[in-house]
Amino acid sequence: MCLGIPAQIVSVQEPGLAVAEVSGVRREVSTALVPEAGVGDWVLVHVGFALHTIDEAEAARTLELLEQVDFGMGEPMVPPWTPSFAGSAGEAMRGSGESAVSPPPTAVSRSQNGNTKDRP
Amino acid sequence: MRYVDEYRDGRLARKLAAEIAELAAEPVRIMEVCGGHTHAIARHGLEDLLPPEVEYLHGPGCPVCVIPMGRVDDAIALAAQPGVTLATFGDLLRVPGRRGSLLEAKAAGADVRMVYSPLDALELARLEPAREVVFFAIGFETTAPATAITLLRAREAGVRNFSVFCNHVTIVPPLRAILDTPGTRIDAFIAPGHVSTVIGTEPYRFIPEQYGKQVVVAAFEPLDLLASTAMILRQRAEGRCEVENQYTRVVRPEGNPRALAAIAETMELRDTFEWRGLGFIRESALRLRPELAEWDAEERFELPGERVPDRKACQCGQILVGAIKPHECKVFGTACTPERPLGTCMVSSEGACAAYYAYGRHAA
Repeated sequence: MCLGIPAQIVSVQEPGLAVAEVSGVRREVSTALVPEAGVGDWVLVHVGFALHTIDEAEAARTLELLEQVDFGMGEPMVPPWTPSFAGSAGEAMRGSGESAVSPPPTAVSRSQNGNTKDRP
Repeated sequence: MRYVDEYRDGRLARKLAAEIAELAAEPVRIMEVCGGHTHAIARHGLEDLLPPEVEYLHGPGCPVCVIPMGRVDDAIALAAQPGVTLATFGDLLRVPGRRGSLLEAKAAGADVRMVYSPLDALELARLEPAREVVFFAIGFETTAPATAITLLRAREAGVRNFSVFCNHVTIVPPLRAILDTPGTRIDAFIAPGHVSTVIGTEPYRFIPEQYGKQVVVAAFEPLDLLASTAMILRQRAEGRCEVENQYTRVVRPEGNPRALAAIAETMELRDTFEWRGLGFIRESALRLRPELAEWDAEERFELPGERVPDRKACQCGQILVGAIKPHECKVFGTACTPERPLGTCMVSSEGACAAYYAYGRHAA
């Protein structure tokens, strides 16, 4: 029900009505809720309505953040332990910026992936 | 598909899972509120990637799952009236009422049509002026704006053979009801991404502030859900408790004010509404405003309006509040299957039971 599909607007029929394309399939969608959306914009479509525009820069930023997770699988294990993580379950495999032991140069420090305070 | 495929990268998923394993110092139970999230978790097997300390509880955010049986019976009664065409989303057709579903009513001769959008139902009314087209509307704040705009269109164009049987619900009251349930097992929430495109992130603030539980608004791809899980664990590890937004590519703190205005223009809160599994919750659902009585099916037609208790064997109620998992239900996969659902959670693909059944998550 709450399925939303990213679609790209390919033409504007009239104010509030556009044609959007998803994987080659085109369909009329109402843009009454996102009148600012124009040709070429990506929107999130739900039951025939564009609910919101998709922010390309934010989408890229989310992917960047994911890439930055400093957990190279197969990277050398480093002493990760800091008081706050003592006793953590699972194999600790990475360095921490808060650690007294500085991580080896291959490991990215925690501070680089700790920036998840997006927009509360 | 753009904005989808890149968030399904297996290599990144394993990296995130490893981070989650390290962060999960103690057991944490996270309720993903939205049925879309439940579906994605089951479909992509995310639970298998996570350490045993992290458990997902599946919440009440599947509109098909929470609709009480009495309202389904009302819709079937509407469809049985002469001259009425009942239009609704495909998911709703198989929801069992007391004596069968809308699909069975259709087989028995009622004019029941499946539509993708409420606008399609309005178009039906235009094309068939001799029929009374009733749109059986359900959904949270994600779907309510679509119904709202459709109603405004109908009024503007003077389409008088169109009406709405409104069953729209709101997300915050059931969350509060679950949090107030004695013995609740939830430590944190993954909040529904698409509801939040409309309402924004502010309405969840009471959860950390009054109940001390973390909230992360999440998108729907596997990497999004893993990243959101990691965000919750990081908050806990760092002693923070707040509402964070992982779905920044679509969700703004203020939501979509235009969509909220459309809802406010056409609908108002009901005093109370029944939810399957949760019972009656005050001010948790919407009805049409009196100004739109002409397009309100509840004003225009006689409805039975009876309260119908759930079937005894069905444990949807416990599943919807996270008290048990789908496979722990007595009738899961035996008396209750997607082909012949006893309970609503087995109907929609976003229902927890249907997701478990479809993706074989009942072996564990």
